Amino acid sequence: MTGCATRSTRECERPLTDRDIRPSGRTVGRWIGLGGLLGLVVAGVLFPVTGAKQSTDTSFALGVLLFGFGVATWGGAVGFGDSMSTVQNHLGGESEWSREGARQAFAVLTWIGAGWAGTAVVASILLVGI
Amino acid sequence: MVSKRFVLKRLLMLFPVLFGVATVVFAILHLSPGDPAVVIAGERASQEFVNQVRADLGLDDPLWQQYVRFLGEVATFDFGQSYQVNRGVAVSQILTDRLPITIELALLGQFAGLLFGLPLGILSAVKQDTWTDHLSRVGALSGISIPIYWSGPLLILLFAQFLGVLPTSGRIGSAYFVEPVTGLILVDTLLAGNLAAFQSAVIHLLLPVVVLGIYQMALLSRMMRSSMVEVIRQDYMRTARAKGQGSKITVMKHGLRNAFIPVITVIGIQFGSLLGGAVLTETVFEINGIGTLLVDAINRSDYPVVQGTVLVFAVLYTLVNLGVDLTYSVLDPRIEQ
Repeated sequence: MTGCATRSTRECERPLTDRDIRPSGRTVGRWIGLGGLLGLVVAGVLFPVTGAKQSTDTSFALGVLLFGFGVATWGGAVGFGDSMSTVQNHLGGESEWSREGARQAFAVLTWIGAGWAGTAVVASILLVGI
Repeated sequence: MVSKRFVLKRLLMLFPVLFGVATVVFAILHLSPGDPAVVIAGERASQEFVNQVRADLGLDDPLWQQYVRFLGEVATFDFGQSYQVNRGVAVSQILTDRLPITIELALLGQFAGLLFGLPLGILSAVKQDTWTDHLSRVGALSGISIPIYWSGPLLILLFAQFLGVLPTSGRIGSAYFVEPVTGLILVDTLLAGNLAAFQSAVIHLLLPVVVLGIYQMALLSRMMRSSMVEVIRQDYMRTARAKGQGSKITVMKHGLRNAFIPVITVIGIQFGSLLGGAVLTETVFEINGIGTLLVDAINRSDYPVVQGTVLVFAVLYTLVNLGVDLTYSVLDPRIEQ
């Protein structure tokens, strides 16, 4: 089934590119959790080398980089995706790119980035203070 | 006619795009090497002084606090003050002064590209596989292949050094001073009613515009040709001809509108490379636009200027693509649906 391999939910009976499929709160939570874990790992690995502030700052910067990229491309896919796919069809392109698929993929990046940056903020408050 | 809902949806989506771009720029700047405090204080400054500068700029705060502060400033269009490039001057003021220069150059480059590229592409398609077509294709291929940093100095060598007919740099002769009103030198000279200054500005801008326009022209003519060749073979074109319509009218009335859709896409996408090209062109021709400003700011770790400039580039790019998106739906209303 197209796209289902990348979905972790049980109700994956329709292709990922279908409209009206919105990720459940649980799925979003998993993505945020994955991002949080990555943020923690990066900060943890850098901590002995660069110290508390530098390690949490670097982890935060990487997290917001992913988050910002996700938000920008998600906005682009939602705002201009329909026109892009219509123009693509108009040109006779055979690409399987779709607005919905792009929107979902970039939403995943956004949630992971948010979790990552969020963990880095918490780690910074705990280790460095406000 | 484009519906309000269609326009509103696209305008609303500009906000997350710009928020995302602002975030990416902030993250990349803080991940890249280089400490603005050291640049400002100087290489030989004491560590205490560097720390003092860092504290004054708020660079010793945790990064997430700097990010929150940055977003607050961006939301109010306040990019802060320049650290180095124009120390102490508001970034918004620097951008206001420099932006029209780049916009003028980019628009003229685009205009030159369209002016020569489209007719050349149409001619090439209509006269397919003739000498006109072959020459135009070779010209287009050369135009695409020649980088600006090579064609710029080459044209300077030819027209300024050897022939001595065109100036090497700047936007206007040093003998003229025109009070900036719009910031667009051609418009300002006309507004001032100074024809000699206008003539000087035209001569000064000719080479940079040609350099920028060559690439645009080459790409657009290639795109126009292939799109037009496709359209010419369509049934509705044959039907129009069978009904007795002249070939020129058929091409201009039925062919151009349909062939234009993919070309519009290229124009929108290429606007980004036009801005990138303006960075190189401004450097080669010593024009103080936003491109040279960006290069200067990156070299001197001037975070506020880099952030402001990249955001302005992003706004311009998204607005042009919004315009392109709206043009699609005017040319082919099915796209809006």
